[in-house]
Amino acid sequence: MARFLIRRLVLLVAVLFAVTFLGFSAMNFLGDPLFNVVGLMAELDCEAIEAGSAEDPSLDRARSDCETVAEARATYHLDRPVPVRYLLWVGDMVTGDFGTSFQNDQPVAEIIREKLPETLILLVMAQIVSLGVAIPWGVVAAYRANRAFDRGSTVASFGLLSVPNFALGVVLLYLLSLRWQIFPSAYESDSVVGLVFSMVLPALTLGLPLAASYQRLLRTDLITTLQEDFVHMARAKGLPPMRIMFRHALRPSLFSVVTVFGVSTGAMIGGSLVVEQIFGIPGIGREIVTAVVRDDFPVVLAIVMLVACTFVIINFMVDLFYSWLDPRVRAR
Amino acid sequence: MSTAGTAEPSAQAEPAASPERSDSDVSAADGDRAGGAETGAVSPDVAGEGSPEDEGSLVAPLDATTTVAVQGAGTGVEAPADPLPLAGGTLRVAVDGEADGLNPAANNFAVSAYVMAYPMFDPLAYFDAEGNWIPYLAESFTSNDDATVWRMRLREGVRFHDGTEMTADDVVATISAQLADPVISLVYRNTIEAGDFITKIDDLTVEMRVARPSARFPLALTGQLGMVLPSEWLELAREDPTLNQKPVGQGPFMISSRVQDVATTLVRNPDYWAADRMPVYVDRIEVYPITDMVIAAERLSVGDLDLAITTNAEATLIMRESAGVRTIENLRSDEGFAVINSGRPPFDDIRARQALTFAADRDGYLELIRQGTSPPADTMFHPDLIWHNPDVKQETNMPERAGPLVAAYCADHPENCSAGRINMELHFGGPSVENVRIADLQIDAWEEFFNVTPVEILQDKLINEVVLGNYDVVNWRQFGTIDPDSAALWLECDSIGFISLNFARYCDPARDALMLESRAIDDLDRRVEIWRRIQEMIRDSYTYIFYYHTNWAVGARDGVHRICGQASPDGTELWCNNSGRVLLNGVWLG
Amino acid sequence: MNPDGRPSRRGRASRQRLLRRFRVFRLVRSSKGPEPGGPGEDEAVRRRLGVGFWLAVIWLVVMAFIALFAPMLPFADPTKVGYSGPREPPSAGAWFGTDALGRDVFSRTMYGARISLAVGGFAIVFGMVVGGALGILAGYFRGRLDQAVGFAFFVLLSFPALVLAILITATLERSLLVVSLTIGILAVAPVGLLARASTLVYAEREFVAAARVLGARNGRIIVRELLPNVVIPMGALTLLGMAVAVVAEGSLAFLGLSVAGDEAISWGKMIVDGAGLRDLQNATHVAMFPVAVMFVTVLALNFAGDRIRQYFDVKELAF
Repeated sequence: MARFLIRRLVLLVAVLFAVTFLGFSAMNFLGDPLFNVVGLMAELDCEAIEAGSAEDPSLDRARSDCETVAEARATYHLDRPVPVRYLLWVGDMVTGDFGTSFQNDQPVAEIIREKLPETLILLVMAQIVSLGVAIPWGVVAAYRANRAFDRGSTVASFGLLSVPNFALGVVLLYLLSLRWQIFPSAYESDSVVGLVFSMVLPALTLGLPLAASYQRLLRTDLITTLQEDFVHMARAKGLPPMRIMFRHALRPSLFSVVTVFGVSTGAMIGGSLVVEQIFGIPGIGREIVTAVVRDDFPVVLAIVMLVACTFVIINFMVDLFYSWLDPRVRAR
Repeated sequence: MSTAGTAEPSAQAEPAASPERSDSDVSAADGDRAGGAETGAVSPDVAGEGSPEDEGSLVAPLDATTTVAVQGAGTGVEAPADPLPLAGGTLRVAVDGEADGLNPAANNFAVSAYVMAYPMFDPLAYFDAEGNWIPYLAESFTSNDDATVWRMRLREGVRFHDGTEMTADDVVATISAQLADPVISLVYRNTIEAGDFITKIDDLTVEMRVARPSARFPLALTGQLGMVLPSEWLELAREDPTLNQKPVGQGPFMISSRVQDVATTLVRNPDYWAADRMPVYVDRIEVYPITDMVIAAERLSVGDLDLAITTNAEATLIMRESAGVRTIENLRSDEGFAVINSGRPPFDDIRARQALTFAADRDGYLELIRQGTSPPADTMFHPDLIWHNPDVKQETNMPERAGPLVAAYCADHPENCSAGRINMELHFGGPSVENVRIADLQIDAWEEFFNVTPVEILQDKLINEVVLGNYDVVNWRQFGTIDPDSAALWLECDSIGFISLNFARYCDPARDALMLESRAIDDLDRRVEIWRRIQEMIRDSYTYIFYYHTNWAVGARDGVHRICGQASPDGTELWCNNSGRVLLNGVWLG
Repeated sequence: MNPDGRPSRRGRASRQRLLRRFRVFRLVRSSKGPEPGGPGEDEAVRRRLGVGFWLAVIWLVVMAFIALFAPMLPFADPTKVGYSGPREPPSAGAWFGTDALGRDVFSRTMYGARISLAVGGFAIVFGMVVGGALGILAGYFRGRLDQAVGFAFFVLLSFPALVLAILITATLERSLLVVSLTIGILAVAPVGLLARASTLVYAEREFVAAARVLGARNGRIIVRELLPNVVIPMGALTLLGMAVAVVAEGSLAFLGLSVAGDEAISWGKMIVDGAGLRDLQNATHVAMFPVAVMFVTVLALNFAGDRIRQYFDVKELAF
């Protein structure tokens, strides 16, 4: 077990390094960090200006601009090659310094602290929605497997899985907010109740497709479980079918759902990018879109790392869960 | 619902929000105007030897204006006279974007930042109801004969939020810091020398040397440049940029909390230096940045907000239609237009510029994009302004005139044409649903004569391409000047260079001479004559296609009083809705 | 992950987990995954494609035909501003009504198929060529190469996909090629994992061993023996992968980061254009028609893809 744990941990760290290096290189390759720090001055041809040859009407001004540029280069280590800068960044990260946003000089840690709760509320509510929908739906479908309801729900779940989440968001917004006026159309932070209420539509948008996939998993596993001996036994004892379902069959059938529950959280972070845009939620998803669009390197990198960490750690935990459940997994 | 909000074509892409550039304008006909009662009680004790000569109003008489105060559906057209102001309450305001920070010496302010900053900072100067500058935080301004040296006297007993007294040292430190900032100082580059611009004379007097004669220099101190910080705080903020989110000013409100993209809360300053003559009523101001102003307008209509400030056409329409909401619309703000880069082919040839202008679809733009909320623009001045030249008309929607020009151009420059059409790029900021829509509309009108390649680049980078001249045509929003001297920056030859604030890169020395003359004199008739001539010159250069006058609409719940009708510390009535920069200081809720 | 490259039980379990993650994306289904028909479905059902499949195929063929020949079909000019008044409801002249600029929504929706299907098709082909090649090589040669490729796939999967996509499209020129490549890169890892897994199965089979005994070179074995077998499961998943790619393009377009230009009409772009609150309320058709067409197309891709997968019994082959 210890060796297994160590191997997993090594992998986790290696993946984190690789993911952040990928993000770091991509940002440096695709964007211009200097521009974000000094703006237009990044375009100055400072060597020519220092040499006095550039045809700029205000050479003095240009020289002082070039000093600013040089200063910024030094401050942000922009004069170093990308791998060195990456290592410096990792060094800061390890010591708990996430850097400050290029955009507004706020510490990245603070930005994440401000934005993360909204996203977490959204993700938690989405999971509640999906489980709340999927469990009864899956149970009923399995109970009457291959009957009309089951066949209908198979089609329905297939349909739900085929709606792009932004399209689902727009449809729900139209129906539940504009047409029937049940839920607010956008994020509200006035009160906790208002906040939760305004998160219902986004949570439905994220949660319903997930509910469809949970339902499919649960239904299959339940049908398998219902054929096991102990269920037959319970049935022979004359227990009511719903009691058998919830007391005996449901728990052993949740295995697949639990597995996917973990990884789907990672996948949902991607979905939250779009959903937070639609409903104007100031969360991590919207923050990273803004940060990418504005080339705010430190914020993008920190969030990428956060998401990758979450993903890798969830995988790690699923691994542990497996090995705890089935010792054969870690036997070798 | 859009991805980058409903950003106007270039609202965020303009360089340093220049206090000069948008000195614009006011809605004179707000239903709240009766609120002058309270300000009338204040004696104009300090006339100030340096207060401006009476130049007369820069706007046409009220009855000739198209400025509108639209009452919400269901309310009477005439608002009742103000009842007695009530103290207390929280004013909830929506603005269309978030500010990176609120430090006037470090962050470049857009309109949303001004809405949050004016309650915290009393500007050194401001505008009276006629559009002339008046001293505000400063006691007086005086200049030498050729208006190159300006002396500013400060008021005694002004205290910052941290309790320290404001002195000339703070002013010198703040303005020096602002001019040292590469972005904030950008728009002052031609007029203000950074090095020895400002000097302290005594504890309450400073002297400023302007590079060119400037008869109305204090206009530059009505915005960000006129917001003074404590010098010690400036030092601290330099070390710790997070302080930019919680600046210390001397205005009637202090910052209480601020969460980026969510809300900024201001609370009443209990020790406001001018509390005796400028009463403050509300306890708190909460400012919400809502990128999709349609959402803000909806929330305003149901009473979740008290005030919303926007240029978004659909939000404006919603606010107009909502019961219990009135709008104060200012049509004399920035102009929306396309700039044509005359500095490189194909538009270095006037025939190409003319053809583009003739083929443009301004009618469609006004109907489909602005949806009737903004009037068409013919020049850089709204017809209400005395500068406006009624003889200058924007030539558009006449594609039949474009064809021969394009044919002639392509005969001479086949390298810039393909299939008989001129090749060009159209730059605009994104990602933005509205900007894409605008570009689609423009291209549809132009594509008969031009092969248009749309280039949607990030708002923040658009300015970069534009000042460096790496574009053919770009959608922009600018001018909106009530006093046009500052517009020289965007038009003169000196602004052309490596970094060019003359975006069109069009140089006309005769035009420059006129603008210099205007800046130095006080003779209003001559200045009007000059600027009417300049409008003709701009028209004949075919470097701008004016589409519309921006409509800065302020939507307010009926219970929100005295958005307009506020007064300066000396009791002078102030401009209202200055291109969306609404003063919230004296607002009360009833 | 299977760091040591051997088809151990642990490796197998982790592979399944990875694939299970991607079941969320509906690209790959593992052997333990649920089947739409569930255990109740028998071999006969699996071997019949059914009416639904053919309906889906017809829809897709029609959309593909429209995408290919749109300019030659009698549609209104999709970029023509003021084809009719703005935001007009559906009528005989404009079947889907008009949008904010008075453009014909029906024509635009039809043209929208071009970008969506082009990006979807290109992306999945790219994913199959690159991911497939890497997966086969890793699965065949094992060892260090396998470890490296497996690690690279895992890193790609750990990187938030949409973030990577907007990172690229926000900074590079947003041409059809860049957008397609971006989404193609996202398809590499899942497709590669599938190819690797299939290769592992076949590399142990007799005919590969026989070829090796007969002195065939590695290259020949890969091309002649493995490729045809691995291509089948990969090909069976093409349509499912395309559905994912079409949705990804739509998401990018919705964020304003897909292919740029007035000619580049895409469903995601049309939906966001009509999704302003006021438009949604007063001119619902502007957003809802592209939503409907996109939904039916993705549904058809998913449905037909799923039937094909069952038909070829890919779940058996996957591991």
